[in-house]
Amino acid sequence: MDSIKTVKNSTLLKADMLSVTFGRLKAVDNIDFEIQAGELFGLIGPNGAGKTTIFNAITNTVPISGGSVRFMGKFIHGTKPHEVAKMGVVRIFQSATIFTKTPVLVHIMNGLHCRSTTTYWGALLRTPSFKKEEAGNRKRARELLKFTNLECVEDQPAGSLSWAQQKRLMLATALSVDPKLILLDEPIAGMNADEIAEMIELIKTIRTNGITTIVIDHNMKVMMNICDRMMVMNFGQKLTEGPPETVAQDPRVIEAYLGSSKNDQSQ
Amino acid sequence: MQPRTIIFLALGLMALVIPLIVKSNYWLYMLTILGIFMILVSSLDLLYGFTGLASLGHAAFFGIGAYCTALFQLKFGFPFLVSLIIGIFLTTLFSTLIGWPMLRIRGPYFALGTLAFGTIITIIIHNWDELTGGVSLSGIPLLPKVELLGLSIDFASKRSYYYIVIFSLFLTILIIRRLMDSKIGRAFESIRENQDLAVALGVNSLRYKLISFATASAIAAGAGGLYANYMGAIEPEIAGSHMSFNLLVMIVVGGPGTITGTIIGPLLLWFVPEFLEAAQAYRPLFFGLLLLLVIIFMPMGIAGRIRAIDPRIDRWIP
Amino acid sequence: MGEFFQYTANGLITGGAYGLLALAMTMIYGILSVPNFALGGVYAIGAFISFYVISWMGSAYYLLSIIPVVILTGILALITEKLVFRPLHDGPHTAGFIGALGLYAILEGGGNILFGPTWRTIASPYNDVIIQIGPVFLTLQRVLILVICLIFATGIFYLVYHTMIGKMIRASSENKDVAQLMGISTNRMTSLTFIVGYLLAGIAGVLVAPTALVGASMGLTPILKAFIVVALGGLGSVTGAIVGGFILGLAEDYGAAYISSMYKDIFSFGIFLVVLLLMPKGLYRR
Repeated sequence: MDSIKTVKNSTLLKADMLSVTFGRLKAVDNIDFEIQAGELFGLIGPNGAGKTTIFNAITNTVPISGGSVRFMGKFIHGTKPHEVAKMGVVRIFQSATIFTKTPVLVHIMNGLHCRSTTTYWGALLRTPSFKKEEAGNRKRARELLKFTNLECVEDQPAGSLSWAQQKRLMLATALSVDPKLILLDEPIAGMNADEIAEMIELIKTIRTNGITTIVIDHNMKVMMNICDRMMVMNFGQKLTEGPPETVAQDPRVIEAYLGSSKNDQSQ
Repeated sequence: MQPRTIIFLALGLMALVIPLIVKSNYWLYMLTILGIFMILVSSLDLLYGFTGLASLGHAAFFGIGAYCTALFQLKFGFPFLVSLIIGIFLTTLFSTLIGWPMLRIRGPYFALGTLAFGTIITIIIHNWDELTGGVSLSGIPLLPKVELLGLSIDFASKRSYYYIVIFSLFLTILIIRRLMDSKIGRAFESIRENQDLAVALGVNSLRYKLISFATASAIAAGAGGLYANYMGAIEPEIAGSHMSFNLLVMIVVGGPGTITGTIIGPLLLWFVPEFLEAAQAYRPLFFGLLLLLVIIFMPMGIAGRIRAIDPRIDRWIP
Repeated sequence: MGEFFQYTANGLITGGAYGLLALAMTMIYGILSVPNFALGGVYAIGAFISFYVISWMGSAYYLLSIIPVVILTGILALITEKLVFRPLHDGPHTAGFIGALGLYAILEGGGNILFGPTWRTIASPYNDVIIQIGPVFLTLQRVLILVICLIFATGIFYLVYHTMIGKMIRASSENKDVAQLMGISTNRMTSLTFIVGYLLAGIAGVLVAPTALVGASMGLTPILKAFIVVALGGLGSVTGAIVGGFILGLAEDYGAAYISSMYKDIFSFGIFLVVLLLMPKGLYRR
């Protein structure tokens, strides 16, 4: 995979007093956090805590009501969503969001869109530079196809794939955008043990290649395993932040997930 | 070579050979108009079938192209080809201007907006008599006779015009195919399938919708120009909502996103009914019923339904 | 100056008719998220029924046409809801919309065959009675349009916001799944909404018929304008439909009077386009 031009251990993403309000609902309430380049950051919390909204705010899919988000120093605020992707921030949606009728290989090629320089007339006239770039796109898509173990379904429409295959396809497509930061929203939800193991391998490899990752998921075992640091949210607010072991033992976190009980020591 | 291409070339060959077999002027006339409709429906297919934009005002571009081509010949004496090109250019300019704000709007609002726009255009054409001749614009000049390589070709003859239309149809299909088999076409389809995902992957949805819209309108304008000179006279209704609706029915019933669909649509919904004189009054009823049945039971249209029978059949349907 | 009041009155009456249709459309849109263009056909059917009642029994029996209208629109509502809109609801967004277009085409086409392609006029007893209020002259028929519109508007408003059934309808509109979990039969609420909507459209047709030309495609332009009203007034908003209807009616009549009557229809479409284009993020939802 391509090397990332960011310096390791520099701040890639910074949120300051971030707030997102829908009507009277404060989905995200005054949150600060910093993501370092190259790390795998986990975002956990009960349903409705505001985690997906944070992703929406980072990609400017919903407007920010207060505070700011900066990616590599640049404010997300004025950037159009498709430009955010081009900047290098790609998110994967919670449900199986795919182009149902598109064949798998072509599906992956969709991610190469903003990196391709083909012009309208180039495509119409089939210029040599067009042909060269298309061949390059195919090649790159093939690599990602292989990486996510989807070679056997190359020509099939995305909608016909199994759930786990669809999730891997979403990952492959996101990777073809050549992101610096990838936002994974519940990547292993609905998978069995084997599929989860496969996905974790992929996520770990992505991390080894220098891509910064933020993951939302509810599977605590996995999250403890893969995350460098975690942030816990509840009711739109940040409860705590830190390495997995510290976070897991924080009484506030236990309370948020399991309800408080003076004599309850279980995790 | 793909099976689809074989069928397509076979159809193409058939189309080229027809005038040698069919001598009747009436049949040639019908086939030529069918060809023009196929060009027009293909352009709507680009917009609706591939990019997912349901436009109820597409005929407006057909009409504007027709009227521009006709008027530049009548008022300024420009030759046909020049007038056609100007007509296409002006229509594309116009569609880009109107598309720029309008394509930001989604769903039924967009469709209604296009309908409103198309209706306004028709009313303007109808009422601006001094320019457009109001109820009808006639006296559009015939194409000239030309000396080419020692041969005298009368472009106005039914046979020559048929070939002009077939050639234009081939060009249209080539343009659409080439666009679709590129990052531009992939962007169109991604917008249709899931616009939010497309944007999350870096596709500037407004820009590509605009490209689709402008291209579709340019092709429609070209069809309009061809129509104007063939018929010799045109009316404001060719830009109107009934025409736009019929076009949409043709592509929905025929099969969006397929070449076969753009053949079946006009064939079934224009060509065949033209021969059933007695059934003229039943046409809107028939169209509505067909549209309903297709959208409930065969949402991918007739061509799509045939393709879905079996993957082996799918490969043979262009 | 007196003309101004005349135009205002005219505008309010035109607006009343649009308001009835808009009310029908907004209620159905609220619960199904589909702009039901078939209502334009139902409108024409209402007009046809009064035409036939008057032709067969004489204009004195004009009001009697309400009975067949109620019955027929009710049946039509149930049939179309069950056979067309319910199956299409699960499909892609545009499916319901296209289905509605198809339905309209069937109704218009059918109307063409049964009623014939020519436009006709009908005479109701109220056409001949002229009322004068100050400088304004109105036929009783036209006053009736406005009055009935206001009655229905109040009635629907009361129904939707102050009755249990209204609450159930609103719940079904907002979140079908949750409503079902609470024991509300959303299917029944949808059917009810359809019946009410189709009735409104049919009544509108009955009222307007004596003041306009009756023909198979008479519903096309009005239903488009109704959608414009609904889109601008807020999808699913009852007040928006009524108020919007009046505003559009006034805009049209003022425009026709002070600018140009030839381009009258353009005003509604033009206003729609202008507002649409100025609010590109989409008009506000309810």
